[in-house]
Amino acid sequence: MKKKRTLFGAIIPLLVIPIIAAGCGSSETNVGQSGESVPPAAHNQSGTGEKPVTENEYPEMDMRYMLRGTDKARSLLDLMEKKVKERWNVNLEIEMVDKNIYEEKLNVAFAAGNQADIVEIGNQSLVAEAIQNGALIPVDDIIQREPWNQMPESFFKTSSVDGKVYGLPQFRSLPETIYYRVDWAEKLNLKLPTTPDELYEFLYAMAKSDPDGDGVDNTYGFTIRPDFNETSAYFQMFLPVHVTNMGLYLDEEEGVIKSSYYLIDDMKAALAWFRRAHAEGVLDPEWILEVQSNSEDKFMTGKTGAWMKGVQWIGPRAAKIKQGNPDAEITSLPIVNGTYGANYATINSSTANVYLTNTSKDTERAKLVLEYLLSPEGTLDMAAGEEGVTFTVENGEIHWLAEGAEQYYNSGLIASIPIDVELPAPDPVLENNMERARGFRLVEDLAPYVSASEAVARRGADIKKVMEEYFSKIIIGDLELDQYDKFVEEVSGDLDAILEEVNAIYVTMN
Amino acid sequence: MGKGNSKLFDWINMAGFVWLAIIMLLPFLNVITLSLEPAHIAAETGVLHLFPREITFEAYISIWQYGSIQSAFMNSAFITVTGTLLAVLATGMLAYGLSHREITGMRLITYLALLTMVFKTGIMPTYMLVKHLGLIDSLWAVIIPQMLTAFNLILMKVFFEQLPKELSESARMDGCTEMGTFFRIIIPISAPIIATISLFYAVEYWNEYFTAVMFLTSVDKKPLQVLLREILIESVNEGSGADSLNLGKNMKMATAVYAIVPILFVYPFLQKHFTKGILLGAVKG
Repeated sequence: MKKKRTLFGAIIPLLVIPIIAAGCGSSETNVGQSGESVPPAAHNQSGTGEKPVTENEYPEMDMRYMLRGTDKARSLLDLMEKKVKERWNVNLEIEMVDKNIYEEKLNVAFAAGNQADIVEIGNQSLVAEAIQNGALIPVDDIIQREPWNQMPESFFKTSSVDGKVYGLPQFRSLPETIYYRVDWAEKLNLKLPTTPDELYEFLYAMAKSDPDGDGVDNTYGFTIRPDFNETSAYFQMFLPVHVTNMGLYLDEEEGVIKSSYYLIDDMKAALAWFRRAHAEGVLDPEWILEVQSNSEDKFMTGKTGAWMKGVQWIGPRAAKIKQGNPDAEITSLPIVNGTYGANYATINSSTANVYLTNTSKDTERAKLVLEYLLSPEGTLDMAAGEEGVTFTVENGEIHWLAEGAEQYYNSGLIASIPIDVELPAPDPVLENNMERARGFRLVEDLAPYVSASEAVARRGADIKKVMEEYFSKIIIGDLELDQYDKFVEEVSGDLDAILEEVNAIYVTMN
Repeated sequence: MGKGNSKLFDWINMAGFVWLAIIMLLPFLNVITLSLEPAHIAAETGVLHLFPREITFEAYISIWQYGSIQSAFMNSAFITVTGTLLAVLATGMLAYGLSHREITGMRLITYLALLTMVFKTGIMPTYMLVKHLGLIDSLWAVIIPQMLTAFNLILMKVFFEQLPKELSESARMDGCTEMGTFFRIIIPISAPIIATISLFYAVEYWNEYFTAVMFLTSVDKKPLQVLLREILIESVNEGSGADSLNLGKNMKMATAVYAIVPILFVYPFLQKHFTKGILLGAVKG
């Protein structure tokens, strides 16, 4: 009996403590914390050119900003919330939602009329539907002002309907580049490639000349994924655009959207390049089973000499590879010029737009907050905070004042902002990498037309599946290269229907 | 069957089960090993990581340093403990009522409960309901909608139906009300089923992810599973912070350990009742 009582006595506090503790975890605590962590230096600053105002000039109001993302340093969010409070007397709540569930949550919130005041929307169909239902508010007045009026018009294309602009761009598209092992290339005295053949020889040497010096034939030039994501820089040596998304591109001379699947000789040349790499052991034979994290791990642990990633994301990888091998160095290969120019190419557009919904009780103030959030100041605040408040720079290095902020810092995010801004501290690895990609091609963003096409929604996935199957089999040698003609024959019916519809949409929208 | 044959069968049986146990334990061992290895070793492909070549707690420390992990732990604990208590209470009370066949409408209510096993309401109606109840961004939004599941209700109902009627009859003769009978007589002798159902609910609440993402908006209300999933995404997301990318696979595995270990500790305490409870519900049902 005594034992039972003791157990009971132990269980009760276990039940009660979390209840009390969770009950205490209100946002008020955080406001208090932020007040302590942010010095008065941040007071009354505005990155939007608006005259700073005091809290008294505006009645207090709540506002929500919902975006895709993961947890950020509380101290950085506190800083942003404090600025918004001081300038416009707005209690801003920044809600980051798991990207895999974001769209569903957004849809449900819109349907239930519970959407945030400011939301990020990536899905074009949802944008169109929301505009049609009057759920989004135009921001044409904002884009007349700096820095928005300095941006290319194409950055507002995906968020424009009937001549009105509804969204502000959050990131610009930057190309994927081929990272390589600088230390291996130097050791093997390799000349940096400028043509597809030279690139092949370069990767061949990485695979066959024992670049890691362990005397064992255990390295490969590169690996790819069977869904052909992160292979654009290889395919674009032979083609105008990447093969994913049905190879759709705008032939600017003719003003017609075409598919690179119909560039049969070029496509065969691309597949022959991969096929040879597979046959000669330059391409890791496990590529057919590869997933994203594996291909990265292989590059990081010295199994492959090259790997593809967005040009701006090199910083953390350069640091990571040094953990296992302090002599390892990485950067991107310079541009390889192919049939259609630079192999590094990306869409001339923004990759995520942020919109103002009709939920807000004070649209004008919501616009001011939106402008701040996406301004260089707001973006820097979210990425790193403010110098002297959350960090200081000494001898070109960042020293963090805000607890935990270093855990979240990635200079690549700042490089992705659609406006050129100075990094909080010099980042030679990133800057050198960006330099390597200089001269990359910009291609027309077809997302507004593709997303509006019912034919794409109906048949796009099937074409992708057939493409992956044929391309994989041709590369591993299960099918002859000439079987590519059979692939074209198989998909041409659906592809033609898609091209017809997408071109019609293109003509209508332009 | 001869004695020799029987022994041989036992050995084969044992070998089979040992083999099965190894198959089930290996992934766990692999996860724990990877979580304890430095990033550059954990990232090695083509090698089975079953024993750490080097041990470091950097992945665990890095996760623990995430600003909101402590509050996420507390939120999950609150959801699990409160949710389980209330869910067991609600399920038990309804099941006890439904186990009395003489109650008018008992069948209808049972069928209605069963209907929820067949037809699930989508997220939209649930979201609307939660919104109208004013529970958006409240931990109760995660607790209340999961408070009663038909499967657990049936298990409990079957258990209560097997209890001798004389028990409640004699309690009533002694002046006990229905509530008194339930709390003073029925609950104390229902430990196996209560332990079983508690375990089901506790695991369900502890692992709750979807409703938490849908209904909670504040950073400080996120439960552990949501935060761990974010950390997991961070470790492969190109736009993530430096730390998560620097760590990578060991961090992913450490998140898995963080997610399962706390609830794993509940099993040994409930296992005895758990097995008994399931058998009672199943065999005589």
